[in-house]
Amino acid sequence: MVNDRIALTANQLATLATLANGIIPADETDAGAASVNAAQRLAEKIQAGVNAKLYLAGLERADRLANQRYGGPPATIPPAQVHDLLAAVRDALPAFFKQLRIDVSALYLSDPAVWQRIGFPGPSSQTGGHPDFDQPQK
Amino acid sequence: MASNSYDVVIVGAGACGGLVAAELARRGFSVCVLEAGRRFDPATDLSNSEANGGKIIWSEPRVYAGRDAVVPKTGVGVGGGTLAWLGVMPRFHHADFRTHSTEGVGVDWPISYEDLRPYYHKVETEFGVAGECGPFAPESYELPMPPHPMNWHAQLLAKGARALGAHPFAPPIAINSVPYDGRPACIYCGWCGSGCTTGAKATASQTCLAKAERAGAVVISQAFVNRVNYDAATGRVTGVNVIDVDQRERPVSARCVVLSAHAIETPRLLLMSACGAYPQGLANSSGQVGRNLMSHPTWQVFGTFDQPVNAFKGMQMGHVMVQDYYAPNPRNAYRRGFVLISYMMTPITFANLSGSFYGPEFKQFLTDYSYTAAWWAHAEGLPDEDNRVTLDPEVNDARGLPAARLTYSWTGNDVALAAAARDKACEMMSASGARKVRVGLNYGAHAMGTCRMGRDPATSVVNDLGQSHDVPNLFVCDTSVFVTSAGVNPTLTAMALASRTADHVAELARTGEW
Repeated sequence: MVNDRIALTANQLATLATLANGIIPADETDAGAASVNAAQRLAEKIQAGVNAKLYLAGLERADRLANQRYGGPPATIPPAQVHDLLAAVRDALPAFFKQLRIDVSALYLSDPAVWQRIGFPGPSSQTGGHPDFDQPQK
Repeated sequence: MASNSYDVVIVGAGACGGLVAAELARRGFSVCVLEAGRRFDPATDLSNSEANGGKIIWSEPRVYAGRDAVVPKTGVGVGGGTLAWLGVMPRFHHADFRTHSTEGVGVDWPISYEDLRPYYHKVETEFGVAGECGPFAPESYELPMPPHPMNWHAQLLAKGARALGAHPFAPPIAINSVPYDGRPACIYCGWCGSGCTTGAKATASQTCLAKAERAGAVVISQAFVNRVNYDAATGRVTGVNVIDVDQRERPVSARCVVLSAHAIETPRLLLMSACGAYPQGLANSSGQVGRNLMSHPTWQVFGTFDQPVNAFKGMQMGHVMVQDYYAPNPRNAYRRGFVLISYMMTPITFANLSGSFYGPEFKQFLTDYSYTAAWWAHAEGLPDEDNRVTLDPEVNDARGLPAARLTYSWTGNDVALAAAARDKACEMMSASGARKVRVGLNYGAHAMGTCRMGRDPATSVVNDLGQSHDVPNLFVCDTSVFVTSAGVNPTLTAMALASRTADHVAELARTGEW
């Protein structure tokens, strides 16, 4: 749903980044959602109005939950508590959590560098598909 | 628009609308097909990309309500749902038409398997279906193309199924295993859901609609039908109103109107067409339009292996199916049955169907993509008159028209049956050798019901031939007319029913009844 243009505050941006990077976190293989600037790209979509109402409600709720449980906004709490916070957000606002997970996954899994890491070759119809589809895979 | 008056106007350019268009145009009727979505050139518009998949999925506002808020995926564009579909085309079984008689649930259909037998064969031949009927088919039958070889993914799944005593087989699927009807054989690129770029997958646009257009039918894209017009003086429909791409509204007149807009938009259109004679919605004297919305309760079950599976190599769905648990069995704790179908997705869909976990566990799951296999556990959803499509009182589409509101709660049997299907898929995945089995998303697949057929005008919307009980020159040809959902993929049966209705429409014209 497209609404009027919306400006996110610095605090909302920080909360969004914390949640997005908690969905697909950094590890030894890559920086996770941060490797594709997921939060910034999501913020641009929200600011253009895409799912803005849902996101604003979700960010506000996440902020409130973090303050209640951990005494500070999401961006200030350690990774283990971010993980727990995401569980609380999932329970409290399932539609927001679902949309966030879908959006973060889509950004991360559209990156050819990620495809390479997970063993996905990407588009194949232009190169003849997969003639070895029925053979043991290596 | 070349003309403004036709023998037949068909709303919706999907599998059923396209088929009816071809069958009637071939017989010499002037036919106009109106499609809300765009016309695509698959080779250029639908190149391998998950973003392209989004172009062919209905994305206008809908409201999902009820305890379980089921969200069935529906297509849009010239080709309709077949643009994005995965092509699995099994026949219903005999007992699927008699669920009440055999198991005391649902409602019996006014027709039997025997009524559809010739139409099943006709659709399989004309649309192009490859595969085996399988060991549990309603009867032994031949398909026009040989089965696809099982991809490595399916071979792993079949191994587990056989270990448990089941009988996996390569099911009927409308993707060419060999060149057929001027279209090439599949190259197993693994992008079926984003739109087939080669034409190996049967789509309405490249099969029946192309034939309809060659026979003189007119197919108009980006033409949204917002009303079916009714003449109270004659008791008949006179055509439809169309909103075109420039947002101009105009009438298109016809001697006969066929609705093939699928089980959500067809009832929405009838409800939006309320008039003095039918204040609850056109052809809705029964109050049944929109009721008995059905979906298939499904679970995605993943298994991660130590060796690469590369399930993305091949058709996305249906390299293998298990139907051993489909027949009714009074010893079960549930009624009806289920099937298991191989289903592997491109990465974003893989992530979305995995569930709601996140963090390091989710990242590891994504990392294991090429080592992961998946069963789709697919069960029958029973009808419930409170599961329904209505017009939302608050949310409108961009045209200012009320959005469809889907109210849905699974029945207790749906939940129990789907759980049994899920558990069997898990068992088979372990038997295949998966080192980790993960239950993914539970969701509703396919939309059916909402204008069900029946003999009694008080409890059904159309008769056994798809003809409105209330309005004799109005027909419904899509999954809306389903009385029950069966436990297998619905498109073949919807097309067989539509073909039967097309014969009836032609016969009524021959005898001067419209």
